[in-house]
Amino acid sequence: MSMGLWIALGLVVLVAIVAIGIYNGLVAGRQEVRNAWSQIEIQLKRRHDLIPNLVNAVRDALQIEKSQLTAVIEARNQAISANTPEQSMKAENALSGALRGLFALVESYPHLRSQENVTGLMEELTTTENKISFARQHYNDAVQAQNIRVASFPGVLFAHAFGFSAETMFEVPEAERAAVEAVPEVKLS
Amino acid sequence: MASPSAALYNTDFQHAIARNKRNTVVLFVVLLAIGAAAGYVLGWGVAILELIWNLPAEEVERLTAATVLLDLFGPPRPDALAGAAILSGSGLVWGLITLASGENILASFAGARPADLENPVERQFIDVVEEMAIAAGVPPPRPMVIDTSALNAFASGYSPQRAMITATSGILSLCTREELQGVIGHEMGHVADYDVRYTTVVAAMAGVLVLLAHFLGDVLQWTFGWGGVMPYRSRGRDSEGASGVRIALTLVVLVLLAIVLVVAPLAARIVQMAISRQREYLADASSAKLTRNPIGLIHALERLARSDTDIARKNSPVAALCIAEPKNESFSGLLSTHPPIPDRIARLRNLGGAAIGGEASEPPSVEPSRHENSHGGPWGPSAETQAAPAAEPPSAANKGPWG
Repeated sequence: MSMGLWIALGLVVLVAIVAIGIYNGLVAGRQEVRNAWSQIEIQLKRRHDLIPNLVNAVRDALQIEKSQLTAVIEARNQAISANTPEQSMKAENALSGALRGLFALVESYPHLRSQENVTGLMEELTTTENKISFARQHYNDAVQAQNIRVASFPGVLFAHAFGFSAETMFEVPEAERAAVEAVPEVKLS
Repeated sequence: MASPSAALYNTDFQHAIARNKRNTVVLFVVLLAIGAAAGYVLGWGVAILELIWNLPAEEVERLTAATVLLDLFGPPRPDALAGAAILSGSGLVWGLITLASGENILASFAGARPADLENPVERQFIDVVEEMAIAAGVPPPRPMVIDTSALNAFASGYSPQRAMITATSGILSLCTREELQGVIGHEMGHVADYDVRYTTVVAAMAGVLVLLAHFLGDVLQWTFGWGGVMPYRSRGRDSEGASGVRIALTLVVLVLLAIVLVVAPLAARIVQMAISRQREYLADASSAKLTRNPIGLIHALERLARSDTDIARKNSPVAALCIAEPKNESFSGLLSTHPPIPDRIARLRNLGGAAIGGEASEPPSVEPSRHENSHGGPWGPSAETQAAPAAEPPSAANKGPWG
């Protein structure tokens, strides 16, 4: 074979190796995005399971504040029965707001705060809330990394052919962001 | 000093992971070489002392300090080779044990126990570790506790899959949840970019060198102590001159051995700290990236700066792993494994602490880190990142002495 043929063959092999590397990177990135999404769902499920326990624990003490309890329960039931991702996202955000209200309420009752099962449940729900938000954050980090991979050189040359496209970020609606910033003043100490 | 935002641009876990895996191998070899060199000199010392006290008097009188010391560089003596083999061999074995059992050795060195789910403070610690693991996208490390009032924390382990995060009961009970998130975020940064493998191996190896040097020093002292062993060993009737030469030469050799016994652990520590300061900045940046809230770590560091961070003397191999330099270390200035805390705080402020300082110094809310931001935000290469440290809000500035 001539020299030119060898060079051509070498180039083909080189391109194949690069393509394999890029493909594996894209697959790993997509897997990371999916894992991150399932982590969000795990934590949301955990939140749904915990809420009835907390509501039961504080129900008697909070007789006068029944509206807040019903609001939480209703928000939870709506979140569970949501069918589409949009519905679910909206319901979960409403639930976050309702829960924050309930937390502030419990904090304002010293005798509730000193009950061991209540503090335990509060800690568990607090960490679950944090985990939901960190899981969303990690999901967005993973999506961002994958989208950069798909859209930047040399990934952009292969991504479309391999069937990879940009993933969707988890957006927090403006209303929710405002609710976060307007978080009730809670004195913990 | 690198530009303040450089640390954050470098928060590239993939590169950090590759670099750490490479460095682990290199430093493993360097530490073995230090151990072999120290063992060689110690073994040689034992052999040469035997010789000095067993040579006939007329031969001893012809020896000088120079001829004795030059013998070190002469043909290797069997005892010297044995010493090199013992020190580097035990270093190797210890290193492999550390790799095999990973996280456990250092944690048990430090007297750590698993965190207790029934204790509210430790329950919060367990939860925060899980939260930060989710933020970093790694499996949750095992949370461990050391019962002491000192404030410190460290991460250890072979890989993110087999890691531990150890905190003192002091730091757990004193820090707010927000501060704890900052501290654990820092440790999770060490876990996620394989700092733990590097530091665990290096810490264990440096530790074994220090221990062995101490041990051999004791053996030497015992064998060749001034307690009359040496005169007893000398053969025949010595002339005045011969025994004087023997004692003088023994002194020379013992001084050399003493130097080695001091220098070897020192060299091990220099190796240990060589890269450790830079990775502390990196872990601080990782903490800011994971919590999206540098203020927590800033407040925690301010707390640490004001308090006792010394876990215990026996834990000196663990120093490089801690969130803050254990104090009361004799070489703290020269050989510190951590950058000065004010410097770290200044860099954290540049990573966005200044931008959101006012808001976050309020009591921690239910979700202190709910800044759903994926476009860099305050820690990206934005205008805030470049802001000078002078841009601190008054509320944060009067918290500590570094306003």
